Amino acid sequence: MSIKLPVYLDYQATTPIDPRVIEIMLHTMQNDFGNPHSRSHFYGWRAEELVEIARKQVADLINANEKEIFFTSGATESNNIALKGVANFYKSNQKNHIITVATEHKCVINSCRDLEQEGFSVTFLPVQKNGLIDLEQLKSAITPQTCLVSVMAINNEIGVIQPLAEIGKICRQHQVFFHTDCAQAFGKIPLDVEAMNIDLMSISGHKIYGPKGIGAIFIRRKPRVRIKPLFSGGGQERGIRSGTVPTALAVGLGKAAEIAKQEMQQDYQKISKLSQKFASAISNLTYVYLNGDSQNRYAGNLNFSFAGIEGESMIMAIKDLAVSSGSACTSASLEPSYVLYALGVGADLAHTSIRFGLGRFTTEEEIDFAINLITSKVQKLRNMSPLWDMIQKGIDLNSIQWHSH
Amino acid sequence: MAFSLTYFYKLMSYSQKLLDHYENPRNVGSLNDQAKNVGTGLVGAPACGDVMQLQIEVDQQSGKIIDAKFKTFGCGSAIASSSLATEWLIGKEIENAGQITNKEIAAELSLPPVKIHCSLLAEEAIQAAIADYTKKNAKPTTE
Amino acid sequence: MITQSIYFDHNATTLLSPEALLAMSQVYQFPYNTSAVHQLGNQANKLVNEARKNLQNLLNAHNYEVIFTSGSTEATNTVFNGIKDVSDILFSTIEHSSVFNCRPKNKNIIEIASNQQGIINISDLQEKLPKHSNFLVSAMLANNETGSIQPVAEIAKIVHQKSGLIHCDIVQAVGKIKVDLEELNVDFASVSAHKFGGPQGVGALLVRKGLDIEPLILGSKQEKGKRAGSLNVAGIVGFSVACQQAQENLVEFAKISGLIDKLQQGLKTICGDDLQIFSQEVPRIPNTLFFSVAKQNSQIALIHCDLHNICLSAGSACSSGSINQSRILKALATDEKFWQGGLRISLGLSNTKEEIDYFLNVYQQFYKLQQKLCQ
Repeated sequence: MSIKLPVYLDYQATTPIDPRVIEIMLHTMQNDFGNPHSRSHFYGWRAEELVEIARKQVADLINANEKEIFFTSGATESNNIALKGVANFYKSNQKNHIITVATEHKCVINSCRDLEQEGFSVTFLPVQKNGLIDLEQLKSAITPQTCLVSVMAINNEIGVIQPLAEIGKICRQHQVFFHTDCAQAFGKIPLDVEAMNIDLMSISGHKIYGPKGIGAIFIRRKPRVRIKPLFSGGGQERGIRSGTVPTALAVGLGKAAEIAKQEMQQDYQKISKLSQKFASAISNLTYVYLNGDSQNRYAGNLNFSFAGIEGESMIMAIKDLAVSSGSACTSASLEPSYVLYALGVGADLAHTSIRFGLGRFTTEEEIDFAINLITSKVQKLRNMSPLWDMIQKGIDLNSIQWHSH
Repeated sequence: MAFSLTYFYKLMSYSQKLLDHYENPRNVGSLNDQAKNVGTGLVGAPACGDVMQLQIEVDQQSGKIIDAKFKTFGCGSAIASSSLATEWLIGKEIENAGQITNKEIAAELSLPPVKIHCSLLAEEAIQAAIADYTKKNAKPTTE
Repeated sequence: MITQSIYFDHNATTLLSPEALLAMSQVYQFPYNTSAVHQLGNQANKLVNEARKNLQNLLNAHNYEVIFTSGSTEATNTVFNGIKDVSDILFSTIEHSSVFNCRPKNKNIIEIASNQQGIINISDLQEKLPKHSNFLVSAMLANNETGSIQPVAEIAKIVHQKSGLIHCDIVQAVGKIKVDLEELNVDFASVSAHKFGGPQGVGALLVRKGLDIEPLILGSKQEKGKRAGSLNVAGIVGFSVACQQAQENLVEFAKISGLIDKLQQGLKTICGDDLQIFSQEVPRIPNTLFFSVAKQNSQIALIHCDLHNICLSAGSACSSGSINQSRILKALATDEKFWQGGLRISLGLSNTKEEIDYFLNVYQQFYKLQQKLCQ
């Protein structure tokens, strides 16, 4: 059986759309094309009906009420709404402190930086070497001025899962709102807004085999969380998010959520099995380090540092695999990944890291192919690397006086 | 892990020559750095993502570089730059070897602007190797 | 024989063009991601750049940056919130709710009056312009309810003479009339794909080169840092196809005014003096007719139409669920007896003469019935 190249192992960046989702979306675009806010005719009503069905499908996956789900253009927008929306609503009550984590996605970090410019104070909690936050540090960071804690469920770069239920409990005890960016977690691990005391949640369509251009935000009703909306306009989505809700995209997200609910278990089992096979084969290459906690992680995300090999040259070598790297060369700012930096991974190892993302459609054949390819290329590149010689000799790279320009 | 669009569009437009040097690097390996007729240059730093080790073996009679080897920890451009450097060095006289400039390397490989520093590093590696050889073979001054 | 629904609500949204649908379905086969290092990233970027060019060609906007957004509401919000060195924003009462309701706390909002033709009152604008130059005027090109076309080039001249900036909501004009941003000389423009055969969920903000705005959605560096979030590649491709088709179909689209004329004639015959047609004395986009009939209740009219499979609206979709009638109807209608009866018909290329005839038939029944009941 032939594999399609490149083998797609970049499921954290985006996912292929599930054919069942494509089918229903194309059908909707052709037949149910109405504006869901048109109240005067069948096309509008039908579109509205479909949007409400989708809303329920999203809510069901996280044990929320459909009235708590609002459609947005994606998790980036949802994160902006959550952070700026809560902060700007509650600042009049002298609640102007936010706590988040140094490893959050850029949309959370930059929204916080923006709020800092406007006079809010933000605590960026450090993470431990395994990528997890220290719950005691979280507790001591909370003050009477804190209005929001934002911690992502699964980190997009390294796949670690933060202790959501414990964080939710702490936040509830201190009467602080708990927001979690679940772009990588929604539909992949069980999430329950009630059990975990989650007050706001960001959801992304294209990370769970749904379309791009759609996401959602969960905003709790009891106890009520108020936000100042990001967009003003026609008042759609109960005024939370103005703008025509794109019917077909919402239907796509709903369908993806429905499928995820039904298939989460089997997806997880299959991905875990393939992940274990892959991880153990790669670890056998020696001097290969898994970034992030090995237990509290999502199996589909494996971020490895390959000592002695620079990331971009590795990506070029394994170009038959579609992956991502934490190397500086592959980042716009020419600085290596800030997430790895927060874990304490040295700059040299950060340059060597590659993220492999597995998903619903990954096959064992593809994993075998990847293992073989990586093994041969790692050998080739290490043979070309002056650092590899040193590592093998047991020389500590940090002890050398490097002449850098 | 978000990357600049324009940068990566360029990335995938590496020239044929560059890709060739990357896929089929010339003169990978190492020479005996203890030997008197071998000059070794080690430049860059792991923290920067670029380390080049470039070595030259000089025929002491003729002053010609008879062999050159490299090992590089770095991106595709860095590997290609150092591979090309070794190719150009072999057969040159040690006096002229130092004339190879980063501009020539960058031009030959059509390096994207953001990768020019790789050719600079290669030039530095050449200079370092020559300097090391020269130091080893410095004639003691007669008093 | 009319068996299917008759869709006369194209200003609310349009059917996705079959070519756009096909192009999008092809894109949906692959996990395109413009931020990726690998081949799919490269290909995705090519598609997006082509879309940018198609939009620029359609609008003669080569001197403008294109920032893809989730729609025109977001585009407008981005300008109003992100514009630098502006303390006052001015717009008239005919603007779409995405403009009218967009009132950032740190800006002073000045409402300008509009006239009975649904056009901004230019002298009121001139009077209310601040003395300083740190202001933004927002003036839509074509009104979504009445179809009236505003003299944007003239407004832009006035604004620029005072060294201010001008934003133009061109949402209802694109694909219906020729829109030339250079000629209009505006500084910013908002576009929405689903109003002219593209998909819902994607739009664009055009910013004149050299002008800078703060992004509204923050995060990673997509769209040169002006709008974070993974690009909706498929949606943008659909948008791209719609732009190409809009260019090709403009001449055909202009002919729709013939159907509008037929409608107007028909309604006049049925209702006589009870009819008021709005914005008759100003240029309109060729597909829109906004009218009211004395003592008519638009909700009941709509139900009657719906029972006969005809889709219209009472005004903007955004406000159609609310109890308040169209915001601008009160400004347009002199007499109170017209205030409850506003109906909007907005046609598309798919509408036919037969459909117009059918509607007039149905409407005549309704009108006669109303007359009887009101006796």
